[in-house]
Amino acid sequence: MSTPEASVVPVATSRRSPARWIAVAVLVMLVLLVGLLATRPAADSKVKASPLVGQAAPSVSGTALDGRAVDLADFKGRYVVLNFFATWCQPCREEHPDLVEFSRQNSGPSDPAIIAIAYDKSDVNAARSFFAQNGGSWPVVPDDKGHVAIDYGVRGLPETYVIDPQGNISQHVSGGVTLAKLNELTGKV
Amino acid sequence: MKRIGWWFVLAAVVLSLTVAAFPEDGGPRTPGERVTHLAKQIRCPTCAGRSVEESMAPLAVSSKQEITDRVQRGESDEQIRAFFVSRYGDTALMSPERTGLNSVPWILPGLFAIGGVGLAFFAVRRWRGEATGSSGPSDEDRVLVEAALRARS
Repeated sequence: MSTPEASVVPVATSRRSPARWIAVAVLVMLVLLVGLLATRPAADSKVKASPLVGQAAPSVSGTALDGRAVDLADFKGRYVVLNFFATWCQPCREEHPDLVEFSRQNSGPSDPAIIAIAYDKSDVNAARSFFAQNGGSWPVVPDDKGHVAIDYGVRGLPETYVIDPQGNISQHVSGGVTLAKLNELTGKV
Repeated sequence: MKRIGWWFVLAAVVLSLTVAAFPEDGGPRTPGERVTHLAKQIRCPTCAGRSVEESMAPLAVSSKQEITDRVQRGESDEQIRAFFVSRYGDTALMSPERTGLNSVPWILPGLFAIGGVGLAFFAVRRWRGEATGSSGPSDEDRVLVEAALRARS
């Protein structure tokens, strides 16, 4: 005697377990979190774009080491290379000859100008001697309280901001600059 | 069961809105306390992972002076934080602001906690049902039995 076997009927569950939905939701959130963290710049990343590029340049005014009054507003209509430096900063010393050459090639009244910001107030006398020995006739403005450096979002030395003739920051270079780079950034090439 | 699932969704939404809307700062403080409080929130531009309060680097000292000047000028904490963010970007802050995408890291842990509690709740419920057998035959079981009975008759 043979017994008919029950056929196995595939069953589709009419409703899904809430636990499964919660697990899926948690997984989606985890993926979102990982995606978010993976696509954000690291807090300690060395390369950081300045949020000031494209914005109006913060004001810079003061008395240069040679006694002349300096106001960034007076340079409107020209490119300005705003260079933050200190004499104890080796890359600053290395870029100096290129800045001197750039200054020599751009001595006309409508040519790009350089303004240096002496970042360290204790370095002012050394900066005076450094310029006397190594050349450079552009104004050097001491940043007595560090306000200018903070206003420009300076993180290290050297840093250079290029300000276009309209008074907006067009470029930001973190690290040393070269003559070729300065020519490129100020539209000379 | 479905209603309980909705309670978890509601709890998650309430938690998200609360975290996003809750102000980070407490009540009124003295100017000195405000400076210290803000200095702990602003990252030292030249040091790795330290606030301007913790560092004596020249830019950290200048930053703290900038905070002091702005507090004395009557600027709000939010304005002062916004100033540093406008100069250094979002990384100017030791912790991201709880706005936009930045609020995700603040909200997700709470959502994970709620999700975890939900999973644990349903897992325990299922285990208890299996242990006591009180849940009875499932829809799947019923279909199988009906198919077997049909095959016998």
